[in-house]
Amino acid sequence: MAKFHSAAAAAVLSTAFVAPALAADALAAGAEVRGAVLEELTAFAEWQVGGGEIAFGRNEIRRIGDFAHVRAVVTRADGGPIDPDTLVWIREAARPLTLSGVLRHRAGRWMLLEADVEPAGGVDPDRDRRRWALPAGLLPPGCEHRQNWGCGPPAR
Amino acid sequence: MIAGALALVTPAPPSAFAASSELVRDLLPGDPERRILLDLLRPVMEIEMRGPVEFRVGTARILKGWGLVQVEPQRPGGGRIHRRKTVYADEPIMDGLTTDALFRFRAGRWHLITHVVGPTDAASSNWIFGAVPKRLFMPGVADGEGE
Repeated sequence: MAKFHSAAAAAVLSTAFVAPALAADALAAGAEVRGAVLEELTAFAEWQVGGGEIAFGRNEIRRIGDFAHVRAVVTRADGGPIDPDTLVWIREAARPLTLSGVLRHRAGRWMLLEADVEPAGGVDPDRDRRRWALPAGLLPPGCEHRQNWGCGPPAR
Repeated sequence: MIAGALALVTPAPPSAFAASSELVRDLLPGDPERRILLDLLRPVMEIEMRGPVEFRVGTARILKGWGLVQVEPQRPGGGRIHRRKTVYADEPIMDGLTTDALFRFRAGRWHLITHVVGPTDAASSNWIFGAVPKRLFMPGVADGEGE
């Protein structure tokens, strides 16, 4: 009986503490991590739009351990859309202008590892990052296999 | 006395004033901002090089809140990194593993913006748009020159 309890307790513990740490954790709006991830993405976003203040619209963030994947629509600071055609250094971007990237939590902060402007035509924005050794399930499935993620802008 | 000694070895935090200087500043060995930029680049390089890395630094400079480094990644202790053991093993055309990286000082700290490993041309020149100062890449050139 004691053995059963022990096994049951271990199962509960593994469910309670191990599984959440390994499963992709789609962050709720308002989560502290969401704000920190978007804050870290801001410098890249401002560079991509040529400077000036930006805001993030709909966004999806999943976190596994100390890694996070983000997709976020970039808008003007007033929430207005940014026309990628006005940014001559960006070619064939998806509309609305959306960023996709991976971050890692190190030394007490989230650090951007790499981000890209999502290309038009359903091209996988994470194609180069699929050869990285990342936690399984961190990157959203490729466009042709997406279900909840869809191929358009982030759903939230 | 101890406090004084500590003050000598404790790196000063980057200041917005220093980071936003109008003058190109080369970050020499021992400069705390050089260490900060390299430590921001290190996590992605460890993934791409599939193991721990150190950097031989060719260029490290900042200007107007932008930072640029050019490094040669190597294994700790100086061991060569073989490309076939990195994520670039199947890349048909690369010029070594020399890496350029761009940084931005924002909200009181530095951020990695982008990087490129083994470019076969001056790929980092494609990063000069918007507010990125040309002098960061070509210190002898005025920002508006050659547009």
